Amino acid sequence: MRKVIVGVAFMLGALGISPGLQTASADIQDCATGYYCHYRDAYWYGGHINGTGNINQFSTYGFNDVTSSIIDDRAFRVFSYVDSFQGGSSICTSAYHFESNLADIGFNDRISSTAAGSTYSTCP
Amino acid sequence: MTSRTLDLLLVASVMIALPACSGTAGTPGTSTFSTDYSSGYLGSPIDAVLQADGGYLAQEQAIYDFRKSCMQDAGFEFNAPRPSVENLFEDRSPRLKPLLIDDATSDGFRSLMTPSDEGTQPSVQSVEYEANLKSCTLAAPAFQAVQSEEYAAFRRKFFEKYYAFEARYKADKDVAALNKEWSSCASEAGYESDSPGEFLDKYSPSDSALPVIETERSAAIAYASCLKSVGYIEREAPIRRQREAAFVTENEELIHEMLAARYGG
Repeated sequence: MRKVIVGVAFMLGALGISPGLQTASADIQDCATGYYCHYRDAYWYGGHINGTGNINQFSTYGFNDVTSSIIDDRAFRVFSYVDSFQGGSSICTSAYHFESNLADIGFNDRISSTAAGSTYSTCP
Repeated sequence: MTSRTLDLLLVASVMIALPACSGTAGTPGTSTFSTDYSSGYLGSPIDAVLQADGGYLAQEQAIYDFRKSCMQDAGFEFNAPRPSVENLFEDRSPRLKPLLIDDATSDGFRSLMTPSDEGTQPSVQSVEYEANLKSCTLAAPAFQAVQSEEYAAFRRKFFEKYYAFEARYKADKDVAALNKEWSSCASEAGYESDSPGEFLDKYSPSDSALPVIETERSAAIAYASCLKSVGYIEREAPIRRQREAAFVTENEELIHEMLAARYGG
């Protein structure tokens, strides 16, 4: 597993993707430039949903409270919220950054909606 | 409290008052950041102290200016708005939005919904445009500054503290008391719900493209009525602000170091 992670970290680096809070991926090729992607498992495994703007309810796609990793391959930051309709606590992912394992920061299997802006690139 | 942290909090208090055009700047750590929560907007002291640093706006403007010029040089238009104090909170929707009973009666939960691409037909630009925008962003010196290892280490530590804070907040006795009132109100209306957020997850439509039906209207009316009768938004917001302000004070040294690692100073 570690080999895969290191390999994917290298691949992400080559693609210009940087860690939001730290490390790396696998399904990276599935998250096209211009999109952000939320993955079911850590390190970008297990299938994903993608978007460019807000997603009000992940439940619409059977994705409520299952996100374990994120890639933002857009030019702008994206906020991921624990409640539907952009409610509750949120974690911000900067443009061209990723979160490899939301369990590390207490957001694993908690994301229910997103807000994706078009002005700011980085998280404060 | 250091003078720098105090400065940041005071700037933050002024910035928080901007979106609602109401509220009063006041003493950090109290509920005087703003007293008008009618829009549902929560002026978060944690968000504000991070965003209030002038370095953040300057950094974002530098990224913007670099990539606009870079995109134009490559023959593309770049029409995104330039970061400013006025749009600093562009993406931060309210933590809990109010729902008017009239809106609930006519449109169910729909007035809560923000514009959404719902992950289906995203409006991405051409592949060439997106590729150029990525190159131009990554090449911006100000963007690269965000990725320093020193800053990443402080940010990670900050999030560890923030996670612990969120866990404490969920268990907070004042929040628990408020949720108990909420649960009781929802139960009387015939719904099982531990909190407004959970209510939305359970009873709002799973697909916003579907027409509004009577069961949605009934649930939305119960939701709006309980929000109003419990006074949930108005009561929860100052609790949250007070706890966040305390968190900022408790972690002022870490915040100071983190901001210094990113912006210098």
